[in-house]
Amino acid sequence: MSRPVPILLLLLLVACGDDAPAPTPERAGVESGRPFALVEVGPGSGLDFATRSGGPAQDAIIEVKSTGIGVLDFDGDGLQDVVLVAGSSLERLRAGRPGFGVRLYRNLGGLRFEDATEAAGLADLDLGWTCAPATADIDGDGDDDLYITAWGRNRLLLNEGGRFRLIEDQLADPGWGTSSVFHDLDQDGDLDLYLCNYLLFDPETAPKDGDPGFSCRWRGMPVMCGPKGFPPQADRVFENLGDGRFRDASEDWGIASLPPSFGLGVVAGDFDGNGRPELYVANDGMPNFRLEREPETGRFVDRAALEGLALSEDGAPQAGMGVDAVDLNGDGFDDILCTNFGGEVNDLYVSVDRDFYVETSATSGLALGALPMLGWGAFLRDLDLDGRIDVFVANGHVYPQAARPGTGTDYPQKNQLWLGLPDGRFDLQDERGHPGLAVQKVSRGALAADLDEDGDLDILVCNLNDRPTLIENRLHRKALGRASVAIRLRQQGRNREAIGARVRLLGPDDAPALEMRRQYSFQSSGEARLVFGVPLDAELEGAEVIWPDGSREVFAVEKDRLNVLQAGGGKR
Amino acid sequence: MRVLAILLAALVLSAQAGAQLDKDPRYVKKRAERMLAQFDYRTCLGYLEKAEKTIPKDGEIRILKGETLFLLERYDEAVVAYEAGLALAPELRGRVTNLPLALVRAARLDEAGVAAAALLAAATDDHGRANAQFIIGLTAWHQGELEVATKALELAVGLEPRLAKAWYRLGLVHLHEKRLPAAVAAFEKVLELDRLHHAAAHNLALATRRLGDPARSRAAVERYRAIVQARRELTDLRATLEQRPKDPALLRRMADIYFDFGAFHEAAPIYAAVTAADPTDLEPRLRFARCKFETRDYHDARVQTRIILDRDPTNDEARKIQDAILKLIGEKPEPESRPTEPDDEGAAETDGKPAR
Repeated sequence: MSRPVPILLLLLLVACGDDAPAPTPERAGVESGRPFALVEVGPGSGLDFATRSGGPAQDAIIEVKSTGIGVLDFDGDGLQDVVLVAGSSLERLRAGRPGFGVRLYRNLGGLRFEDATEAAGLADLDLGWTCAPATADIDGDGDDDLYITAWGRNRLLLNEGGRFRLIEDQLADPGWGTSSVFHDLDQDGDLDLYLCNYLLFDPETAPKDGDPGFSCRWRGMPVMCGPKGFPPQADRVFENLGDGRFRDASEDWGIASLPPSFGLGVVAGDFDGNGRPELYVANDGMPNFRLEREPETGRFVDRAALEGLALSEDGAPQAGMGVDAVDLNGDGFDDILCTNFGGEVNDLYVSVDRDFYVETSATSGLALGALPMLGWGAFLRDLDLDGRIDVFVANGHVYPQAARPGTGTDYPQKNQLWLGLPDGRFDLQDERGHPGLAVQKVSRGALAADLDEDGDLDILVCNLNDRPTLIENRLHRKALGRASVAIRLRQQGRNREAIGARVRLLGPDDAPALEMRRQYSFQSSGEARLVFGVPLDAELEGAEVIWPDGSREVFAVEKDRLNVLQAGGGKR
Repeated sequence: MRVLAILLAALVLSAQAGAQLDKDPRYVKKRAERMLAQFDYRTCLGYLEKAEKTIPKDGEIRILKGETLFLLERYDEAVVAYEAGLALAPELRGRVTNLPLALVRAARLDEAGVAAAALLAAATDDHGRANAQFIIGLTAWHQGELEVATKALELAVGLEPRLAKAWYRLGLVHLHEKRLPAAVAAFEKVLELDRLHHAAAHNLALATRRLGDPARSRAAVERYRAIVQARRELTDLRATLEQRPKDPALLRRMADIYFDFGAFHEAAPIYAAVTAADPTDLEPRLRFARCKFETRDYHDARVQTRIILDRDPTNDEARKIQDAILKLIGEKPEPESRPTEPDDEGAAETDGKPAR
């Protein structure tokens, strides 16, 4: 399963101090006359696969959210490739035809991609009604593997020198899997899996508007039914046994004791800085979970309700979709973003103290602009490298009926960006400054990744029954007086990318600490790279890394470089 | 043929009469208000859009259109309609409380602040002024100006101490500012005014837990759960009542839920309907009397207890209520048994009178 990784090796050597890394080129947004602009790349990118799920009527709940997106370096060339996951249709299902499948695109550089599905061995696989990818070096052999959730059996695909091999008997949970996350949940050095399951769906018996006991109406119009009225499915957790096998640990780790819920989004991390991993799970129309592992029993317990993380500010469960977490206020505790339905705000839970959060979407300026939108994928990243975290949300309604006049909303919707302000509030941007925000589609997943290796984060959004949206971040760092510090981590063992490590820059006082994660948002999977924005003239004292085993090291890092930090290579 | 001609003529006449009525502003407003009360916002909007063409100079019709658009969550359009209405009838500004709220919901916060200040200037009583201060506080809340929000909301509850929504928002501001005892007091006040306010119970649980009072927090959690369950049941009951509008068992259950939460204002009119449907059942009547007593409508409470005691002189609960009323109004307690002369059987007639 190993394969040559010349660029990576070169970078590793660089990080060990043998050579200086090449500076990241700057692709500025000077064309738009602004030093920072998000611009859609368009069909020229080559990302031409429409992630289809269902038909235009979207009259079954299975159709409305089965599309996902991820990045991975499947061929080891150092560039982030793109995987797109589509669903299927009830007609195809009834006819016994395969789903719309998975498409893999090789990154050619310069934001151009070519279809490599066949070359990667993914073209002829019938994976069923697939939903979302999770990408990570699952077996710790140095390359990116692929896990695909589905309505039906989920699939594990291990990367063997740039081709994927289907592993039939591992992680093949048969529920309706949505988002999933790989994280070392038992802190034994390898990546376990937490899987969100949604609901029990049977196309033959699924209720329709007008069925006895079912009134599926939205603003007076008949719409597809659900999730209310369907039985929720319990989430699952799988322990990595370290030998290529996983075991269902849901009972032992307490996940089976949680109330079955409509799980849609999940993010893992040490949110409260206690050295143990936690999980935050967004549930659709039901209280969200904040799961913490008790060291004595090894079981996860839900503390969301106690800490103010389960419900909206008004004490109501919301339609939780996408999630992300980062320490916004610099108090050492991660704050949590959770996107929700139209008419609901996207919750921003900010820690007031350890284990105590208040929902601040209104006071932070995030609430009102989001009200007409139905939010899905979302992330918290510093897109303009000003040292403050920004908020990106992908939007799109579930009901095509939303496009009718007089609904106050729309079916395809624009995505939204709020830039972080110095006072902790956020400022909603629009297409006047960022043409990439003019794109109006039925969006679902979203992630940030440096796809053109220019030091800033670009954006990928997957859209229902449409091609993905690729948004280039055109940032003129010098004009803004800013620089980027990009960091990858490497360590020995099976968690090679140090998922769960926390990095803080020493020197500039305005950059937040970031944790290495690949899964966040909604049905999306990102890259293992952290990007910090710092002043151009900042004197960097280094980067402090808290590795997943709790050990600390300080590394010298350079601005406008990709710094690859190897565990053991820094100062303890 | 003749019958058909007569029928056709009747139809034409009726349509003409309807068309004539639709030119009468008072009729239009009443009809629109009825549609709004029945949650038929879309039909109402279409009706008002037609009406504003036939009655172009009526500000109230435009404002009603604004209300309809507000309820349809079309806030920018609601603002346009409100402003058109106020241009025709500026004297109504003090009544158009949803204009600044629509501006808040449309994320036009600077304009919302100006509209709320205009609402405050136009308010003619403390209730109006309190409502305007609430909106000023709400606007400041969304602007992240928590000191301004605190001041405005404190003014609101000072002017109108029963304004639960202002107490609730004040509680949230205190919670964000880590003024936990003040937050707890505000949320408790909300629950005193609105026994089914699940959001206040939720935040009370959080604030008391943070204050290090787990017992109080647990009690608030229990209360929150009970409220959520009750609200869910009330929603289901309302949906069923749409199919069976006068079902006494459904009405009784609904009234009992409100009563059990101490939501006497909400329970009273439903018990009135229940007792009107079955005047012989003394149990809902006793609860009705209790509601009237708790909401200080002593006259009606006394009428109901009299009816109960006439039928059942041994009813201790009714007697206690009656004695308490007499004590409050300074009369001597009545003897145990009185001649049975109920002149006020129906409960419905006594409902809705102002408290005396």
